Amino acid sequence: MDTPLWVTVLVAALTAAGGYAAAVRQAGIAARQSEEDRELARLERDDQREQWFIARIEGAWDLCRSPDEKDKRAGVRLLRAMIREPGLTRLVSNILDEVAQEELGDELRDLRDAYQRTGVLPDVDSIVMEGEDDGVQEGDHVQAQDPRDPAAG
Amino acid sequence: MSKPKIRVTRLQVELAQAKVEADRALQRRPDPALVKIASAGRTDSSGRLAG
Repeated sequence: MDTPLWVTVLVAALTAAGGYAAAVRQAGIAARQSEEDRELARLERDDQREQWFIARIEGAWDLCRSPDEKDKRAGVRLLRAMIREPGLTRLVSNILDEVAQEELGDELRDLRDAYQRTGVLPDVDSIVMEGEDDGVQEGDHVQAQDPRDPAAG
Repeated sequence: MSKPKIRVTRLQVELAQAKVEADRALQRRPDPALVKIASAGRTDSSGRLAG
């Protein structure tokens, strides 16, 4: 029995439509998979970046606690290099606070006390560096800064 | 009569500079006492302490 022409055409059309739908579905799955892969790669990169910064900060913190002054300076420089890294500024600032608490003892306290009492910093125009490779020698005069000067803050 | 002096080490100056920089990055007014100590270090054009 001959198959009517319209049946043949209908079957062919349905087959083509099915094939097209399957292809579209496959493409959609592939696109989703690709997007997921990209997202995963991004997360891995972010994670690696975070780990890298954590390692750097831990390293800097260890250096800052070293008994050796050169190590401490290296630690401070490492921290300073990360100050402007988005998301790290506050953390680095807090760590610097901790280090400053230990390293800037009497000098800072005296200056702060005087400033709180009088509203101006004490009339100290020479700050003397001491240490092995100082860049400033005793007697170098440092311009006293008005704390209310916008340039100073 | 000479003015009183405060003695700070290079580490203290670098630390004060870093703290002042951090405060500015946080858009806070830096501690004037820290600014005073930070200003003890001479810096070159790149902002590093001259050695």
